[in-house]
Amino acid sequence: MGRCPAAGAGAKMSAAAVPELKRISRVEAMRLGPGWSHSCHAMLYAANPGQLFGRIPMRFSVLMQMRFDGLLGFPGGFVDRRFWSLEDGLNRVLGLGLGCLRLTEADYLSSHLTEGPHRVVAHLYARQLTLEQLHAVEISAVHSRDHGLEVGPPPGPRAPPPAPGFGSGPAEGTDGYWDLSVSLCTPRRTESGFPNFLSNAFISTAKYQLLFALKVLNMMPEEKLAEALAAATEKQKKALEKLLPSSS
Amino acid sequence: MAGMRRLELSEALHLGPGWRHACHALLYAPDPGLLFGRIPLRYAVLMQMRFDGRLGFPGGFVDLRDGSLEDGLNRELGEELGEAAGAFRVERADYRSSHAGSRPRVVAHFYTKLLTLEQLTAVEMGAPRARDHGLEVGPAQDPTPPPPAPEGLSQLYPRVVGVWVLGLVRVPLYTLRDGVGGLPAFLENTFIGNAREQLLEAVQNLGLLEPGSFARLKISAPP
Repeated sequence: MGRCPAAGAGAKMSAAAVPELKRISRVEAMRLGPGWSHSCHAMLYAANPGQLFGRIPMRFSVLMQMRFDGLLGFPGGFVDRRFWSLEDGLNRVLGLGLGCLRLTEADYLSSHLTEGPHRVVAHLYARQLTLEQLHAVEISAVHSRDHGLEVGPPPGPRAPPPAPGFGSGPAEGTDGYWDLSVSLCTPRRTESGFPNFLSNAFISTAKYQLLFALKVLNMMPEEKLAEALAAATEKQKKALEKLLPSSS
Repeated sequence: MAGMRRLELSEALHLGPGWRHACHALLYAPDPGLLFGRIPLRYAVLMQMRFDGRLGFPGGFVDLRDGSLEDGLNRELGEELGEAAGAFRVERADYRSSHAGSRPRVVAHFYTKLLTLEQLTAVEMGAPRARDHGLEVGPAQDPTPPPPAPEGLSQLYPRVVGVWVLGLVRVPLYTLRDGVGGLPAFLENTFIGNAREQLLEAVQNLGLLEPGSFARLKISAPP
């Protein structure tokens, strides 16, 4: 599965565009000063020939995690660039959770500046696996979770300031312990689960990264992504209205 | 939640044949682990990310003509979670509540089952295999397409043989220093039916949180 050239910051935005974080090149990201923290996350995915109810094609399975802070995200975490290259840092963090899968520079997809006052640049990697390999990663993640919990994260020499949404997580170390595999359905019909899934509580960077990766990897057309995101935002708004006290 | 009322089990069991029954279970186990080596996990509580992108509890529709509520629930758990679910049995003593909705006419029964951490971990390890088997096998061929999933109580498309669990997650029971990360953030996810209320009630009644911390939780409750 080839990757189409990424849209990048210079792309034209259609009316139903998907919002993006500011993208920077890898070179620019590496030139950022020591005040910047680097996080690396991986989108592991597989083509899924299965069908929900025997008729809705699953298309792809994408691995995500319920993080320690109750938000959904990709496997990965902070990498201290004084000690590790991005890839070594990412594999180290994944090694805590995902067995012996090793990602390389060839799997690098993008770097984005995150929102908020803290200077964090988020690097995204993506690798397509077979469904069996994805399955094995999932199972190995359950096995290695408890080890990671006992060992705990290595103490970072200097922790970056805790960023909102990153909770009071460590300087290094995996930020998710509980894996789940998300299957994305082509949203040809409104009963697709993807808008519901998007209306869950994501660590905001991961949501942007998921939408970005689905777009540049040609896993879902941009208009469909924008539709799903709009439907999800609508659901979140309705849910919030239900939870607020009525004004009668 | 609008349209739902709580009822006694005896009343629920005497509802007419026009009512469908659904049973779901919160499986939990004491967990001595520490997050980051300092925050007690206290308990492992299982929920699942469903095929429709919402969080819910394992379980499903049961037919009272085939047996008791618990017979049906244990059968559903076996189908959804695989053979690790065979190591324990949810019983009437584990029953917690029933809620009925009027449209569609579904009454949802909720159970909580205390397991050992080994039993719970075995369920987590076996779940991906059970799921993929369900995906390969697929539902029985049904020429009539299922109607769109009704909102509200029902946690399962009717007429479908199985539910495809996308993944089991553990509910964080702690709150991080920022007052949001952990359980409060988790509660902002999207839940099916009244699963969120069932979770909150169980967490409170079973004493799963640090004593006194439930009241301090800054969460929005439905009217």
